[in-house]
Amino acid sequence: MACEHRFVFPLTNGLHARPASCLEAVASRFQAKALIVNVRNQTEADAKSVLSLVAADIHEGDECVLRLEGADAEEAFKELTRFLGEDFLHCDEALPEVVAPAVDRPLPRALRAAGISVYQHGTVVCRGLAQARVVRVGGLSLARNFVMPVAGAADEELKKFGDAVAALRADFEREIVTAKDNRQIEVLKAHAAILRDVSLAARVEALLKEKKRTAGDAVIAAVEEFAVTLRKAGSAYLRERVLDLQDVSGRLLTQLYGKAAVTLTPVLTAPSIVVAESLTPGQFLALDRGHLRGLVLAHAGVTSHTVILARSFGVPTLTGVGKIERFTDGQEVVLDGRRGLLIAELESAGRRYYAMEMRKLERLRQVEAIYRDRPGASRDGRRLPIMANVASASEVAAVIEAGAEGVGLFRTEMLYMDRDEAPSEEEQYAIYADAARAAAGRPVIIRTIDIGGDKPVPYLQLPEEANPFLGVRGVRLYAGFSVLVRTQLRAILRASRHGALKVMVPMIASPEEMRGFRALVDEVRAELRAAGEPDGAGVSVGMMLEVPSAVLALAELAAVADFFSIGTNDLAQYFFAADRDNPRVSGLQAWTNPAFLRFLKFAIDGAHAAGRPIGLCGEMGEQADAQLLLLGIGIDSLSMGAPRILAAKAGLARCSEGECKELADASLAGADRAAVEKQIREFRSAGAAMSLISGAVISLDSEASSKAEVIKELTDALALDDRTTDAAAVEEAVWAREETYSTGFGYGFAVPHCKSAHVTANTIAVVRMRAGIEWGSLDGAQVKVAILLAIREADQGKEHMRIFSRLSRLVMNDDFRAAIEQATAAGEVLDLLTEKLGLAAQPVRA
Amino acid sequence: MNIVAITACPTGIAHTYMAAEQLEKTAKALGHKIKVETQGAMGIENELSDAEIKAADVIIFAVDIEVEQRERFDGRKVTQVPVQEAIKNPKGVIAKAG
Repeated sequence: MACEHRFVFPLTNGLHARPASCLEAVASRFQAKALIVNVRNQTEADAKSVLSLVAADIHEGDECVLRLEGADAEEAFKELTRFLGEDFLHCDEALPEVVAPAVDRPLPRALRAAGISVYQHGTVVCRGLAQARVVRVGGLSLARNFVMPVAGAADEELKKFGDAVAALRADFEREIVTAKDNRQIEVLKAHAAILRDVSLAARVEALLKEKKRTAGDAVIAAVEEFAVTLRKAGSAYLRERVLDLQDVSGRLLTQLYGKAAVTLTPVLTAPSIVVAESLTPGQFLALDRGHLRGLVLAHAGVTSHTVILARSFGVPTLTGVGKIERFTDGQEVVLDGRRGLLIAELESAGRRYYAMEMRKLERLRQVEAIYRDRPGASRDGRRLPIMANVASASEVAAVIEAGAEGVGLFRTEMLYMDRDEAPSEEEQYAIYADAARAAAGRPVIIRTIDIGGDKPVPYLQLPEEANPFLGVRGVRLYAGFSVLVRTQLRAILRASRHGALKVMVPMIASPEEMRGFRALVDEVRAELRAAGEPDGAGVSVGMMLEVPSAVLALAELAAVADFFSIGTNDLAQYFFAADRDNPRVSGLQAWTNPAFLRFLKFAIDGAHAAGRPIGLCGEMGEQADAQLLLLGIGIDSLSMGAPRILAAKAGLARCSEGECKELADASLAGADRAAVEKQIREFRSAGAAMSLISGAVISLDSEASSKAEVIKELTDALALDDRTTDAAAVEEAVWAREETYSTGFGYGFAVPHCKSAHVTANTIAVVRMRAGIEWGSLDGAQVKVAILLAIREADQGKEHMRIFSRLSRLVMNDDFRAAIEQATAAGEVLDLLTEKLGLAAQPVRA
Repeated sequence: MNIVAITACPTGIAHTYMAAEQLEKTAKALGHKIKVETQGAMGIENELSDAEIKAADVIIFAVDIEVEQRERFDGRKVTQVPVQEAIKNPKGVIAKAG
């Protein structure tokens, strides 16, 4: 006898795991078959299966039907309808925060014009361009050299499965009891629920009966089926549950065949763009970097360790990419790490566009490459060494390749995370020795362990604090973990004979703390000497300058610290009393605030007065404008993420020390942040004293075959001649103007133009095409010559505008146009323009 | 014929001046007198005075945006065309106005 009950789903967050397990708990008390039907999407879910309920994708407001059949159906009906009307309403909870995928913004016009239509937006965390085939990671892979045993009879395999489930269930129970972390317990409970889920067991059994296969194969197949459904789900939360499913199946497979059986990282055999929901640092490091061209993650915080590693190795990376399941294994895609796009199904226009982009980036790389082996310095020779920040020894060789003059910050926390116990002295010795050798004589500054209550190192069992940022972290931890710190120091001091290692301690707030740390180092040295080991006598011992109180005790600190490194990330937070991760206040801690600049100058002057070098290793050091200011106020070195190093050296080489000092003085005297930012802008425009036109931006032989390619060629020419810092933005501005009406005015000529904040030097650029181009011109004819007029936004003088207007009038003249059409060399066009526009031979300051 | 005109395109960088050039060349070739005020990125150039406007037989606006200081022309007949038309067919525009 069937009973039916129609209802509207009441919970705000839909039927996710928690309310589903509540419902399942009630339904499972009865023998009757219980179904929940989602009328909207026509799915039927077994009310006794959490997986099945969740996969039905039931949202608030959905019309549902509860259907019961069987022996105690009436009883079940009474109870369940009561439950749904009362208790169920309290089963909801806020969904855990998932990094929202980047909202689907419209495509830049230039890309639309190039025929791009299949794409997803993402956040760029490491720039670059990649074109390769997708390799999906996170799907379960059996380890490469694992050979699945031959399948036995169905009941044999079923028994194996049952035993594995029972063993794993026992493991989960034990782990739940011993776990200390609440989040961990929640995760374990959710996994245990999946394990118990009748749908999973039923599916595995059905698969085993269907045909001869091993328990392992059945598990993999069943999980993939559920994963497919979950991936299609409307909410990011449900899509994340796929990871849980895979975790559980991974553990089941391990139960069945041992640890060697399972790997979550495939082997790359060709140029690949890895696409995954998320990736642990270990998984990332296991990927063959020779074949890894790009990385796409659905979820990863900007500060995640995997992202930090990807940056150090210069792997173009996007995070927060939604609908990742659209991109399938083997599919050819482009990862545009400038515009933040993952693009598929390119047609020939799109391919040509990105081939041009590749070529441009290659040329820009070549230009920057000359700085690889050059020491960082201003135009007039004032040295400013540029070093790299790393989190592992494996990055050191790569960052040196990227132009680093050393490692200014080796964060050691990663060595302690994602494991069950602290690394041993020998393990650490090997790592620091590797780093030292890879640096080939260049300095490597190792920061001793810097963790606090907010970092996940469960085996240390750090007490939870209400305010971890202001709590026991960095050096404050050392008194309670003496063995841990000594072990690290022993490893560093012993490894020092392999290179130029230095030690740096975090979070020093007072001279007593530094004296204490120094004494500890001396003790460890004495121990080593006593044991006949090298004691690292030559190793400098310095400190991070990140607590404001230390900045006003520099003279005393300098007596016990050999060097200082300003950690602007934390220093700015403490200085402005603002959390950089809180979007409501993160804007308050801008380094352009003159108070902060004065504070830094105070620190630098203090360190120098005491005869100590002082560098900077925070994110501020990655900003081009900040670099000039810092040089101007006297910083001795900078340390930053590897991808920023060449640009830093190139930027410094364009300015003299005097100019930087002028900028610094003007900024220090600034009334407020806006005044400082204005100073910087004016400095930048004054600096761009380039001539309006040069041979580098004239091309008479273009093979461009579309309007999109011509505009791209013009704006790329600007980038290659250092006339813009953002070719894509200028390109977009030109296209925006084209939308008003075509700039093809007839006679086979066009005058694309724009006014943009991204143009650093006003420019007239010329491209003459071999073949006529459809331009949507006024007279309908094709275009063979395109002349780009690009002007800066904040332009003070009118000189250049006058020249532009003169040019606009000139193009209406038949003789002028004929001369350009017939010119045989770029130099001819350059001379023609110089003469007709009255351009001086010297660069004109607008 | 005594012609005065104003040209003004959206960005004010190119078409404003291209249209001015076309109207000037064409008007002169046809034997007219012409003065063109441009309203572009540099602001107003070659500004038309009240006297010049009063003395004009024909007033042409080749514009895609609002004309600045339009009060000068209150009460006068104005022939308004898109900037593109002045570039493509200056002769036609002048004929239309005249």
